[in-house]
Formats: sequence, structure tokens, C-alpha cells
Amino acid sequence: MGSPTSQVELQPAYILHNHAYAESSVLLDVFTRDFGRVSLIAKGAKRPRSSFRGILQAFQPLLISWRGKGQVHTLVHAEIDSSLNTLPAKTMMSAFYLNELVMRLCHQGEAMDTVFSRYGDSILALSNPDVAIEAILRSFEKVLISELGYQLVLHNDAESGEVIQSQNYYRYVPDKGPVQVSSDSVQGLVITGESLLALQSDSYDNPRCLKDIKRLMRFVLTPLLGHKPLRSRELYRALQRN
Amino acid sequence: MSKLLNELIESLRCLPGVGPKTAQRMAFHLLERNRDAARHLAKTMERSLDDIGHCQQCRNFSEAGLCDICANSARDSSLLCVVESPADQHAVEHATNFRGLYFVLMGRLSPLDGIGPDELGLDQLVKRLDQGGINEVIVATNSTVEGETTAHYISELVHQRQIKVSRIAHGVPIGGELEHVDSGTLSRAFSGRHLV
Repeated sequence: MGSPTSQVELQPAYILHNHAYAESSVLLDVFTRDFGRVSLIAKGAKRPRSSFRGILQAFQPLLISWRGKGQVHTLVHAEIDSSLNTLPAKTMMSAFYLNELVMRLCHQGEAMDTVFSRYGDSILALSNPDVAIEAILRSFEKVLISELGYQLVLHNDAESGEVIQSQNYYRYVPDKGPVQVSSDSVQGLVITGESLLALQSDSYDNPRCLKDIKRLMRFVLTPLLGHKPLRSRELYRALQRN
Repeated sequence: MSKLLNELIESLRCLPGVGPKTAQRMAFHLLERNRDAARHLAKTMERSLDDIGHCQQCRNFSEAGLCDICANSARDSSLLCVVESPADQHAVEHATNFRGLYFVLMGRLSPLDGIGPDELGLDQLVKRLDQGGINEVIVATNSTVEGETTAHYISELVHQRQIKVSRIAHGVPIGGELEHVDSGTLSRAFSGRHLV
């Protein structure tokens, strides 16, 4: 018994990554609104007269149609949805980071429409070269983590249940939440109450809090990402060095 | 099928775009109709693998320490064109009257594939810029997101050294009608318009 043939029309999507495939085709890793991540083959996409030319670019809001069975489907149509997003080079590396997070953490065929819409908003925001990049990345990470089922606890002490106070220090315990430092928990990382509250209310203006939040996000994401390091982060660092 | 024949077919499959059927066709053709050419191919392949390395200066394929272009003293060594691949270099060389020198990256920055500055020999490019004598760097990487990222990064490296850097233009293809040009290219052609 084979899997049923699927046919999807004009689905909102973004290309996360592409690989050359055979002579002139391209294998695409696509993030769609209703089907999550999907693998598609764009046949002949590299031929001079292909209708896909110039369209199948990462970070571009697209409407795509595909059909086929099994794991990899065939792209039959792609058009640019709304206006063009040309990302400034300055924010490009951050956009690649978002793509890598989605590729590593979202499963194929599992719709994540909240993440999808936040992804679109983030990419749009990154098309402004003067945007506060860190704030966009942190708020995307927050949505992604919560949609993956690991909702962060940011308003109450996980042990005492008391409301987080901005002047206190907390240890963020994996799978549990923030615990005030005076308690005898030893694992986790220490973060100020102020930073926890800032993350909860999505206010990323205070540089000190932003630094804390970045540490917290990395702390929470690391076990989800596993041992393989994020390549976009490594490349970003390598580029900063030069 | 004999063991050796199978091995030949399998080996031919390492070529891009060659599946089992094509590999079989190639093997039969070489053995049945064109043994001399096959022998020649095998010898050339062996020699190429032994002798062809990378040009010390531009990283392109070359049997000598310096490739023909880098070794040619008639070329303008104050102009440097950066391209992604030998095929791109060949295309520029044949389509334009560029008579400067090249630097071939042998790839592009690709964050999700783990291709970074080391893989592209950018330290070698920096060394070359620091040696002096270069007045302009023309960045001719592809017009893809990875190509643009690469172009941006190289431009920064060049800028820091107070050397002029330019990026090839993007626009409407010759003989192309606006109606049929994709919107990305058209918007780039518009924003990159020049005075006449």
C-alpha cells in the first residue's frame, strides 16, 4: 500500500535551504504554513528558461503548489507572494540563523502556524537594516520554544510559587523554571528577576537584560538542538574574527 | 554481468547527473565502440589527478604553481575579480574584456552547509590585498542569497584596506522584455539604474 498522492495549491511558504540535485534540479527544504517543513524537488529549476528562476530564493514570501507521494514531493508552481524582501547583508546572517533553528527543531509535515507567522514577521523586520536584531531573534526563539512544547516559566518562582521580583536573582532549572537563588538548587543558570520579566513582556530594550535573555535562550535551546553546533552561529563568529 | 564491468558502471556513477542507466550506457559504449578514446580518457584522468592542483595565487585549477592568467605579465595586476567557481571565471573571461586577475573562491559562504571563510581561502585573499598593488576589487559572486552574503563579507574586507570595491550589476537580460523579467531582477534593475 503506497501513501496517498497529495496535491497542495498556493500554500504560503518560505525556502529554508536548497541543494543542487541532478543536472538542473534543486532539492528544497521548505517551511509552509499548513504543512510545516516539506521537502520538494524543483525540476529543471536551474535551466535558463525555467519559470522558477529568480523566485526560489530563501527569505522570500512565496505561494507554492506541489504534488506527489511519499517524503519528497514535486514543486509544480511557485510565485512571489506580496512584495519582495531583499534582506540587507547586515541582517542576512541572523536570517540564516532563523532558518537553521527551524530546520533543526521543526519536524517535517507538522504544521506550526504560530511559528510560521512569527518567522514571516521576523524576516520582514530583518529587511530593515537598522532594526534591533537581537530583540527579533530572542522573541522568535521564545515563540519557537513555546510552540515546541517547552513553555518558559517567567512569572512565578517554580518552587515557592511566588511572583518573580525584578531585584531578585533566580536559577533557571531545566524542565522546571526559575528558583530564587537562596534555595539550595545547584543546576541551571542564574538570571535576574528583571530579565525574566523583560522576556515575559517581550521588552528587549535593556542591554543587560538582553544579555541575560540570550544566555537563558541558549541554555534552553542547547538540549533541544543536541550536540551538533549551529553552523550559522559558528560562521557568524568566524566572520566576526576577521 | 562480470565483476569488473559492474565496477566500471559503479565508478561512472560518481559523475554528476549520471544514474545507473546512463552509467551502463556509457560503459557499453566505451567498451564496444570506442576503446581508444576510453584508454585516452583513463590516461588523461590519471594524469590530471596527479598533476592538476590549485594556482597559488588565484586558487583556480592549474598544473603549474601559477596558472596561465596569473603568470601572464600583460594582464593588469591592479584589478582583481572575485568569482565563485572556475566555471564563473571562464564565463567572465569569455564574455567580457576584463584583463585583470582573478581570485576563485571555489564555493560561497553557506551558513547552513558549514562553508565559512576558511574553506574559501579568504585568508589568502586578505594576504593578497595586503601585499599592495591592487586598486580595485570587482566582486562577481552569484546573485543568490549565499552569493550576496559572500559579496558583502568580501566588500567589508576590501573596504577596511582602503581599496576600491565594486559589485557586478544586476539587470534586464539583453533582448529581454520587461513583461517577462522576474520581479526580483526587475526591481534590482530599477534600483541600480544609471544615468545616460
